[in-house]
Amino acid sequence: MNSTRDDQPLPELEEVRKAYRDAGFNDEPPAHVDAFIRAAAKRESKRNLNDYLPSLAMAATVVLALGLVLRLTLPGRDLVAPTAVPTAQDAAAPRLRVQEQAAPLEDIAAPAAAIVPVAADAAEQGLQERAEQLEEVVAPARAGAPAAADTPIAASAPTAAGALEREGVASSAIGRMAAPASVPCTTAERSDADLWLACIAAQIDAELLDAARSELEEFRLAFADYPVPVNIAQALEP
Amino acid sequence: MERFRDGHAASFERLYERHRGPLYRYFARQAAKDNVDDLFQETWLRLIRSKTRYQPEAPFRAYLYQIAHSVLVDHYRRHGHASRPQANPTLDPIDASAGPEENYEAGTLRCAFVAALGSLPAEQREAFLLHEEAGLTLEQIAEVVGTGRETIKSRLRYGTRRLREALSRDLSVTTEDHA
Repeated sequence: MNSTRDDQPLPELEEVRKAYRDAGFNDEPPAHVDAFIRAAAKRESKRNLNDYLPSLAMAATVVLALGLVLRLTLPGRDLVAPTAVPTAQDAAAPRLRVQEQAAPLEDIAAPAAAIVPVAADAAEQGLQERAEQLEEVVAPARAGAPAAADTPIAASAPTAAGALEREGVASSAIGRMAAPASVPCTTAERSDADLWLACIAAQIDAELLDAARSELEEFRLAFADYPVPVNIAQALEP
Repeated sequence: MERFRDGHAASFERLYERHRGPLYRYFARQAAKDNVDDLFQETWLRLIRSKTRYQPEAPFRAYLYQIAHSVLVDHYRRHGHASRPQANPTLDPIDASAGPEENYEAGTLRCAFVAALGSLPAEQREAFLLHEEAGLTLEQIAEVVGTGRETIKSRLRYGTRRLREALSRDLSVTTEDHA
């Protein structure tokens, strides 16, 4: 087997080594031993791979944590993803939500608004007693309006008022019910023509005429083509 | 071995195919048949478990037989050197390509060799088998068993001399008996 090796120590005993090869020892391990050892090697290979997984998971966690810390600490960066260009549908969504939220208020305002003109007529006709009775009906609705101003749907009240106003309802009563007059009008109100007009109407009702005129001028600059209700225009005529 | 250490099961298969026969015979010539399977299995399991300790600079063959030597030493400690291989040529595989007479002669020679090897001191027997079966050099054998090269050379010299004497005596007797 190794007769050609340089380190042959006993060339004179080559006969023994040749005899060993001639004997042809070829005994081998039984099949079940082979199978057992091969299975053990496969298990070890898999275990070897599994040994790396916790390390990989730890490394990934560290990288993520560092990334998060850097993102939070570096100036000029925030966690808000860049916003996409708003579509027309996206722009209309807040308005739709306001209208949806206004529906319950319209349910409250409608019966009251129907009663207000009747009360006004009765007053004009000198039927003070009748007017007082009707005023008692309107009072709860008036009281409910300021309380509702604290709720998220308060901003939608002017929308309902605007809708009712276009239907010919007296703006004075609606303005008092829908929203308290704010000086000047808020940015949210100015972003919507109806809300802005409702704010101006409320200022008129609160006899804040100078503020209302100023708001109307700004409104006309911002919404040049938007029709201004006649009652507002008349109330603010110099 | 390096590839197996890195998780390649196929690399182990190649190593195993190459070394399973010689390693099995290394144990078969030095231990009782009942223990050979266990020793062989224990060696490979130790190799598998200690794969991370393998140094690529060392030849794999020497590394394998270093483990095998350690397993054998442990076995001798537990069971003593009395655990010798028995000569039983009828259990050895028969070469189907050879004729009955050739098989008989080879079987007789194997039987004589097993008996002669069994009569050697354990150190000489192991040195001979590491040289003949494992194919290790004198330096590698010295490293495996933890001794010097000259010591191994001496063991081989005395071992092969005694083998020669035993074989010439046994084979001549057998031949005479056969005749």
